Amino acid sequence: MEYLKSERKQILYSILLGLAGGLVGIALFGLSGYMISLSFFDPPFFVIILIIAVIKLFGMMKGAFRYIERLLSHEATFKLIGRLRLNYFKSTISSEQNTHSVKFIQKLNQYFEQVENYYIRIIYPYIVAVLISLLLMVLAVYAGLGFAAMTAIIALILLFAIPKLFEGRMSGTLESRDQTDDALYARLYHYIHDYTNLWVTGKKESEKEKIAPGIRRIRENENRMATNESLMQFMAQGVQLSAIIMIIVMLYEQTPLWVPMIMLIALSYFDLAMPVMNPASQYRTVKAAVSELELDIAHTSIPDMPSEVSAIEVDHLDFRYPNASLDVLKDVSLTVKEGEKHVIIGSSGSGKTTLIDRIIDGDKAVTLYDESGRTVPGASIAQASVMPQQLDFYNASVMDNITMFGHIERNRTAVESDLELLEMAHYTPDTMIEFTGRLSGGEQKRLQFIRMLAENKSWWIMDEPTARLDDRLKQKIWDHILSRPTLIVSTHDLSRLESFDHIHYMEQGRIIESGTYEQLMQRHGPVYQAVQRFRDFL
Amino acid sequence: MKLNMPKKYIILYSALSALGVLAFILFGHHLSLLLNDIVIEGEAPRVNGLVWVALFFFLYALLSFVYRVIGARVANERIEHLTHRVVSKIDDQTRKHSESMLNAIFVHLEKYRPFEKVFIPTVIQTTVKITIIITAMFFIHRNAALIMIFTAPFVPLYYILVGLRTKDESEAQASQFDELGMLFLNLIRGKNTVQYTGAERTVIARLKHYNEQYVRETMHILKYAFQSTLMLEFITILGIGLIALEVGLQIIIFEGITFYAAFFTLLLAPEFYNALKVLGIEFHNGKLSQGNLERIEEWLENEEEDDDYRNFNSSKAVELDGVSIGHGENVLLENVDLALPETGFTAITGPSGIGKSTFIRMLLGLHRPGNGTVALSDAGIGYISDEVYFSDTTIYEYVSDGEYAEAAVIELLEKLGLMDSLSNLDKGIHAPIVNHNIPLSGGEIVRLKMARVLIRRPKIILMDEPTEFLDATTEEMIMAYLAELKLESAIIAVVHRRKLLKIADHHYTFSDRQIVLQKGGS
Repeated sequence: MEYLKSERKQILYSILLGLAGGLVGIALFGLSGYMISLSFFDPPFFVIILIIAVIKLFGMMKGAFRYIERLLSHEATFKLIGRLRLNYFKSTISSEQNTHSVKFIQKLNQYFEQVENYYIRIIYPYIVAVLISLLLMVLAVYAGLGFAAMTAIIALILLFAIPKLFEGRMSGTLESRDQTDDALYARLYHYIHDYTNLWVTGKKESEKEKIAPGIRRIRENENRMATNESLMQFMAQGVQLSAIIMIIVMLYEQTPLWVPMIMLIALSYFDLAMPVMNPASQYRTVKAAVSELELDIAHTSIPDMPSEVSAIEVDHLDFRYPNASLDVLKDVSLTVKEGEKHVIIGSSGSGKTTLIDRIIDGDKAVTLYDESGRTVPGASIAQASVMPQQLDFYNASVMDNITMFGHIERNRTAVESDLELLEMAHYTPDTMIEFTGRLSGGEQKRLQFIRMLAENKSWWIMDEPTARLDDRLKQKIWDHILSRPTLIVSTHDLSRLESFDHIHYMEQGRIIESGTYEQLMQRHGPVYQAVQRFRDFL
Repeated sequence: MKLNMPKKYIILYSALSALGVLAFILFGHHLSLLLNDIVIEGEAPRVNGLVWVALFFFLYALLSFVYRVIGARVANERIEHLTHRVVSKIDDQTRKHSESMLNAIFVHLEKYRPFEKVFIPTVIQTTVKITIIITAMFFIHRNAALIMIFTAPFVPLYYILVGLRTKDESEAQASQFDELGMLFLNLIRGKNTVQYTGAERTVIARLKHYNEQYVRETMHILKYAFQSTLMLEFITILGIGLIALEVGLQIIIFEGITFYAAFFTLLLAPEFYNALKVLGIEFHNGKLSQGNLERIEEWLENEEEDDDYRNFNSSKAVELDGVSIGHGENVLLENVDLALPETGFTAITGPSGIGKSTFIRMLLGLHRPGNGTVALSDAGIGYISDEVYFSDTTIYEYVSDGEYAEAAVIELLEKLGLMDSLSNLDKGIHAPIVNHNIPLSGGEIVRLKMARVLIRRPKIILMDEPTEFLDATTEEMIMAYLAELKLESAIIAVVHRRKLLKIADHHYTFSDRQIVLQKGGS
């Protein structure tokens, strides 16, 4: 709720309007009920006309109140969500969290939808329903204290007891739904990625059958949710029925004329209160989601532009992924000075990508030096252009993607000619990238390459820059890469090995051989063998 | 909007809705009678009157409960079925778009669910309700029925005149909302690049600007959307008010109505108009959900291979007869005949993109040829791909796939020269592979992949030569092993390097949509 501070006025007004609208709605029904009772006892004609006029006026007012209330509450909520998003982004940007999984993004999306629900469907209507209940209780005193007590009990049951009764079940169901989703996600991921092998070994069908229980559990879970929701409604209708009977029994003797009026009031009160129950029963879960997003952003800050980097030193780097039992990098040391071109080769799984990632993302064992030999504080690599394995693009125009929304200065013509150069002329700077998942691996590499050209920084750090490209493009890209002053490149493609100043060969997380091309060719070690093997390609 | 639902469900829904509305009308009937006694006759309520009121209201509540539960169950079952249909479209190419597939299942299907769960039952229920109430009103108070018939068309009329624009606008809003949401999620997902390029401030400013612009534009559009709801409400109020006015006038001036009919009318009128309103609002929601169905249907259009086009009665390892393969217009092989013997090493070479991988996929049963027959000697094929995928598993489980004893696995790994380095690991062959991190060298991974296939002793082995770096010793070892293996099995390998040709008994090249036997092979 803290985030609502600046929208306080809007919220106050929308609650007041919601209250007024609700009351007017109830009065509307009450009046029409009273009208019929009254009419049969020959009241002055103008009274009836007056009542009808008031009913209509009330109706219009109710509509208008509701209209303004919705505008105010939506605006407040959207502003709030906008700010929440901004804060969330600010605090995530400097965190270590891996945000690349579909599952994570899907969950985040869900959280934001829940926040919207939290305010628009839970908080406002609930507050309004509670206030109306209170007012009705006060009014009910006119019909006797016993009647007022009954009103209070009904309100308590509807707004508190029933939601509370279902809260535990609901959050249990939602939680198990979450777990089911996670498990199914893992299974599906495995099935998709291991498909060829499963097909060949004839295990496709049995593996596919293992997916079915997860899908079935989702259905069962949804069914449980629906049953709970319907049960809540059913119970509320039970309460409604007893209210109807009680109204008749309690009031027919003293105030028979009121019965139709109160009856219609009761029916419309239930119409207003019952929709609140279901969201209210999910309060606990949604509240958890909301607090997930309302992160503390007090001590997250954006680093200032660091000074020029003149050297990067990797000093006895060991690295192991969280939860893994083995080091992926073992005692890796490497120094790269401005103006040097380094290439890292080795088989898949040897640790090349991890090493590049450590240099880019920062590590205790990785130090950046500026021109005067001082350590550049922080782990920022913002002075280098990088091409990590995982590339990022956004649902925006090609131009925005290349220039990072205008951060990098680059004119359209330059971008156009870069696209042309890399045989991507089917894209223009204005082309919207609507779904980043549709970009092929090769397209991503090329767009990232254009981004790096636009950045025009002296350090280039790249992981597999020529993978998934055809030979002509490979050579074109190598020409551009090798014209850069300072390089750290990991690659499988040994076609331009001789153009690098330093070659490092990795195996099982270690650099097992380093040197210049000439040295290594003479030494006949692993690099020499790799080159022979590469030349042997047909 | 089409309700794409089988007829039986539409009939079931209609019947249940009709019963529910009837129960409510009978409840109203008895309640009105009861109140008539109290207000007009000044009598105490009769007990059996109360019982009828309670009974029919209970029936009404029960039927609503049943309707909701059945509606949800039918919907969930249909969604489950739809999920299975999407999952059955997964094939060996899906991993290239795995994200979009996972999105279809975890996001789009979930967003479509309300269409089946809420929209369809609500539309049927309200339609039935409107019809029955109007019919009933003719018997209760004809003038009110006429007012209903007269005012009801204003709702669709309003939608035609004003609402259509609103509808378009609100759809635009929904898609814009999606877009902004997507950009935000994109930025979260791609925060690394923002950081690497040092673009934090620019991006934050842009996000902020987008947010503000978004609130402004959304509120502008929402105004239309809410206005249309407001208009619906006005029509509703106008209708209810007209009915109340008519009832009031009837009572006082014409004295042509009983209390029973008056109260009953005022009880049913709001039900009628609310149903109309709900119909109008749901129409909009339904449209939005359907957009998600389209995204799912994109997957369903993919063709699904359910029967194996290969037969396994050949006396040759592989026998192709008039086979053509290609991708759409792009023909890779045309009218090819080929027979490969039951033992021996067959090497296949050719430039990239010429169809070698598609050829292998065809032999595996993953790419149906346009013409011709594919016959193999055995269904148990071993396939050593040039890709690596390790799920969270152990080395033993990876190789044995739960089918071979530890001794057999160790024997084979020994033969492939892997046991030395494996026994150095913490848990030996039971060392876990987590997050795709394998404590092995490239050459060892290649051998591990081979072990997984070779332990099954398949009669036909298909192989995409691994492009991994192998040291000379490993390479010799693998070649020696393959040379031994080819005496018993047919090995068909896509070969990238000359060295492997040394152990080849036959060498074929892809050229000009044909598979040509090279000289030098026998």
